[in-house]
Amino acid sequence: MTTAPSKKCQALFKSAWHSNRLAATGAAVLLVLAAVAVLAPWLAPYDPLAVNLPEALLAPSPAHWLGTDQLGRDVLSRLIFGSRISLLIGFIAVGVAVVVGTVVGLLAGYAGGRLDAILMRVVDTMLAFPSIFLLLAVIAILEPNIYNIMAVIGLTSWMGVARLVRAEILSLKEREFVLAARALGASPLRLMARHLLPNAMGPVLVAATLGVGGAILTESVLSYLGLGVQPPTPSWGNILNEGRVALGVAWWLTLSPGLCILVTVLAFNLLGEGIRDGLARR
Amino acid sequence: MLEPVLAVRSLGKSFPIHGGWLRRETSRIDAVRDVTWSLANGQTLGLVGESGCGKSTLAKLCVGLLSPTAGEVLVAGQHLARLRGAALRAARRIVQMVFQDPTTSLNPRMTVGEMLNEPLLIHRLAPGRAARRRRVAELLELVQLPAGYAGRLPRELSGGERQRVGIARALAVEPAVLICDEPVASLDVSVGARILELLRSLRRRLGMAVLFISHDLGMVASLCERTAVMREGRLVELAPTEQLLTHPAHPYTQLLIRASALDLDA
Amino acid sequence: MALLDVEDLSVAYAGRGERVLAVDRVSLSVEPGEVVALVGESGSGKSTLALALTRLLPSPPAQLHARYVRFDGVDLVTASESQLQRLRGGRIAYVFQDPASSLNPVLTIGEQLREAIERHTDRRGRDADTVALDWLSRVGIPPAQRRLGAYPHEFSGGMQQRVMIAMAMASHPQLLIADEPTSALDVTVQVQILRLLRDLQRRLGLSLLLISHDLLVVQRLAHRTVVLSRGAVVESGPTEQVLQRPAHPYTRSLLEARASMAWQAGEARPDA
Repeated sequence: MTTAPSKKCQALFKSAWHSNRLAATGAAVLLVLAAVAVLAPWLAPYDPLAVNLPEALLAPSPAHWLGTDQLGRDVLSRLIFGSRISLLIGFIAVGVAVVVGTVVGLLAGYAGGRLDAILMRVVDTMLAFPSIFLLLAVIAILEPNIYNIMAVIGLTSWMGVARLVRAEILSLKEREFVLAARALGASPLRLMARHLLPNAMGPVLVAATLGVGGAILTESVLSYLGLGVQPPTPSWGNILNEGRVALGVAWWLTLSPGLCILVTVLAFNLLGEGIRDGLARR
Repeated sequence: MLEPVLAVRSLGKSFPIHGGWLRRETSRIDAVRDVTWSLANGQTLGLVGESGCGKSTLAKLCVGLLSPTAGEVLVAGQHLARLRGAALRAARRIVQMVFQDPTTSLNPRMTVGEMLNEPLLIHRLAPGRAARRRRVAELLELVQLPAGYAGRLPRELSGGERQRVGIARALAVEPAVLICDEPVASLDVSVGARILELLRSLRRRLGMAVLFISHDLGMVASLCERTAVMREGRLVELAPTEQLLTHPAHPYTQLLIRASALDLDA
Repeated sequence: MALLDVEDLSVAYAGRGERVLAVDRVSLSVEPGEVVALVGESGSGKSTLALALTRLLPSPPAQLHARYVRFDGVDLVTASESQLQRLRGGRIAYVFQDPASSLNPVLTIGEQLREAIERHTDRRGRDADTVALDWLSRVGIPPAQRRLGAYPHEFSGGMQQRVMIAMAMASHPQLLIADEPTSALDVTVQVQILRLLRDLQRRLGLSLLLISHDLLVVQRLAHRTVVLSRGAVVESGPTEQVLQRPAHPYTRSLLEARASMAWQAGEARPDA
């Protein structure tokens, strides 16, 4: 009984690899990253918060693979724990954006008329604000803890999803299978849940995957400006920020978090593009 | 005289055209104009017309997908546009439709079984999972598809098989009237012939009335006792099929007959 | 000598590990002034075959093999790309099914006609426009609509197809390959377009390779008929013979299918 599903999994991976190497690479990298984040306490060689001033600003060595920062903390351990923060923020923020955006887009697309017009004007208005200033303003008013950051990033990036979903719903509404369901007497709820939404989620999935990378970058920007996750909790963005002042003497403090962000965002982008190609091929 | 199961009276449908920079309504297009006919239980009526004649709009009006802007659609004597809730649902059990394009008329993310289950759930027919499963198997057998197809997705089916699923879905509620809107236009000739044959045999077996809509006069004529011709939204002629083909009254009907025979020298 | 002589043409697509034959060793010929119909259902390879004749299929996925494909003596399989480009739209012209997607929506019909005329004849500029207007009138476009500055979307489907035919004919082709030229049109318009094709063909001695799934169209226009199924020729011969006394079971099944779906007055009514 258990061989059947695992055989199906194997076959799925094989076909995924053959049909879409880029996406599979992206997915593989992200799986490794997720594993690192989950297994952080066991993988990190040192306590990321352990201050050790005598060992400050050491270059990469066998003892500290990525060197130490100004407070003598092991950079590698901080990066490993930092991955948790970055991934968490990325996923939750995008989750918020997708939920809010989907609801708005679905209602606007399905209802049409007045409601659609009003909702879309709201979307347009929010899009007109430079998001970074909106972000900074809100964070400055609220305190920069991790929950606020996730919520705010999510609440300033749902608009793209809303437009995507609305566009999909508008085109799906006139498809014959939706008409058939209406002719059969399906209620609006059934139509939205069973027919419209499942078929609209393809592009949303792609946007979400690409969005996680964007959210991670945004967090890094916030941290860089001192409004992100506050030290001593490590996040890639604030490691980067702390490394800024020591750039001349300790290049490893900026290079390593920078590379982490780069690789992660790239992996998400590859995965997103791969999903888009896969959907297009279907 | 029995009350017709489906009738339209002076039915009209117009669509607004929005123009100008404020997108106000500038004019209207009359898709259907003053159409009247009725269909009694078990009868067959064919509706022929070329593109833009309003036949598809008419079909949508008859199943309540569009509301009339003039006149009315009467389902078992009741004004369809005025029905709500349970009454509307009941009307939906009376008139059902088979759509043209089998590729887009099935939800790509639902299995055949789920699609045939849905009307049963909506109308609370065959209560209980076992009863529904039996009914789904019955429906598959009705359209000559193997019972194992219940687990398949539309993309695993051929065009003809998808159209059979579409027919089964419409028949799930045991409608008194089946509207077929160009049911074989998207299919190959040999596949289409088999679908038409299926429709014929279903009619014999279940006795429902059929409104058959097509641009193909020959096809309509081979299936329907009466035939109506539409042009630019209006009903131009309605007569028993044999009479329409041998003694067409209206010049457009005559034109259509000659064109259908591809008479190049007329 | 046949104008078009095809011997053993095959088109294969290399899928993932599989090799699919879209066209399977098809041989056919078209004489000057003859109308040959290629009949088949979807998947029969008829459209692939039409494009393969002038090597219009993108060649990495598609692989072409043939003993020869001779047009007026020249083997198109071995001809150079520049030779083929001169022939395409010139001595061999195409008309496709959907005029809306064959015409460029952002160019006026005048611009598109002029492009065709300047490419394949020696008329230029204003002279080419005169030729264009002449052809628009010859394909039956009424004077009011004969405006070179009009855009394709301003015409109905039937008119668009006439414009396509004008574009194809403007270079005085010897062979016109028409792939389902009327399938997307209303039946009353179909009659007009088919009549136009027939008249042009008769008057100009044009050879026509007509691809269709509609046996009635074939019956009205074609001298000879070739029946394709799954890429291979199953039957070919004079149209009347193929349609009245079909030899192959597939042809018979096509005819039966069509007969069961249509009813002409006077016939016995199939049980409804």
